[in-house]
Formats: sequence, structure tokens, C-alpha cells
Amino acid sequence: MNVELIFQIAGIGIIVAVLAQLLSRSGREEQALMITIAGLVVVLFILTEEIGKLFDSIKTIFDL
Amino acid sequence: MTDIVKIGAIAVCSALLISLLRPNSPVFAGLTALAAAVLMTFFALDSLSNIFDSFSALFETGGINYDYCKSILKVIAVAYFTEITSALCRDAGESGIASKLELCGKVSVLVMTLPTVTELLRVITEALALI
Repeated sequence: MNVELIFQIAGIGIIVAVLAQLLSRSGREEQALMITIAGLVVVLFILTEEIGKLFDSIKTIFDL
Repeated sequence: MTDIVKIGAIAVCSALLISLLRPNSPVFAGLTALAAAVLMTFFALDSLSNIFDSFSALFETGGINYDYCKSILKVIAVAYFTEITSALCRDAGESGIASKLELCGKVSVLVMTLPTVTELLRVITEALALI
């Protein structure tokens, strides 16, 4: 079990929030949106893998 | 014992991180909550599989058909699963979806238990016919 997963995702979230805010302050709204979407996609990639593993183990343990 | 301390540490850390993230990027706060939920469910599942092994051993020594035990375990699985996922939906602020999910969970539990109930009714009618 990797506990770093939470820190990874929260870290990506903080970095993306800071970058998006910097970009939107300097008047580049589109790039701020883009960076938010990119961060979202990366996090979803990490998470879907874990969720798939979780569902697999639920299926094997409960014989569903 | 050490496991529950670890899980508590994970829960507190993720709660702090989520409250840190919420004002700036609520989407990432939700995703972090999802990650925390997945990790903690993994911890619970590890011990649950041991419990189920001893459950099945108990059923076998009691001489009870293992199929009944299996159906109980399946119902428990569906209940846990709907509980976890509806809590996640509620965290994301979608209590409407969460309540529909709970409804679906209840219906699927009913569908799973119906064969056992009909079996029970069949046994009862057979017993009544014997009288």
C-alpha cells in the first residue's frame, strides 16, 4: 500500500492551483484552464489504476 | 493495532490536505478524498479476506452449506461498496446521486437475497404439506 499516493495527488493539486493562479493573474486565462485540465488528467490516470486494482481485489475477495 | 494507527495517520493527513486544497481547487480536493478512500479501503480489505477465510471454516465445521455463507458475504460486499461509493459522492457534493446509488444498492441486495427467500418459502410449503 503506497501512502505516497495521497501526497502525490495533493501535491499535484497544490502545484496546479498555484500555477493556474499565477497564469490567470498575468492575464493568460486559457493557459490557466489548460494547466488545470492537464493536472486533472494526470491525477485521473493515477487514480483510475488504483480504483481498478481496488475493484479487482473486491471482486476476488467477495467472489462476485 | 499498528495498522489502525497508520490508517488514522492517513485519514488526518488527507483531511488536512483536502481542507488545504478546497478553497483553491475543489476538484483536486475531491480527487484526494477519492485516493484516501481507496487506500483505506485497501487496508480494510486485507483484514476482511482473513475474516472471510475463518468464516468459511466456521461454516464448514458447523456443517452448514457454504452457499448460504457466500450469499451473506455477497450482500455484505454490496452493502460496503454502496456505502463507500455513496460517501464519496456525498463528499463531492452530490447527495442526490448518492441517494440514488443507495437505492440501487438496496435493490441489488434484494435481488441477491430473493433466491434464498424463495428457497426458504419452498421448504416451508414442503413442511406444511407433510403435516
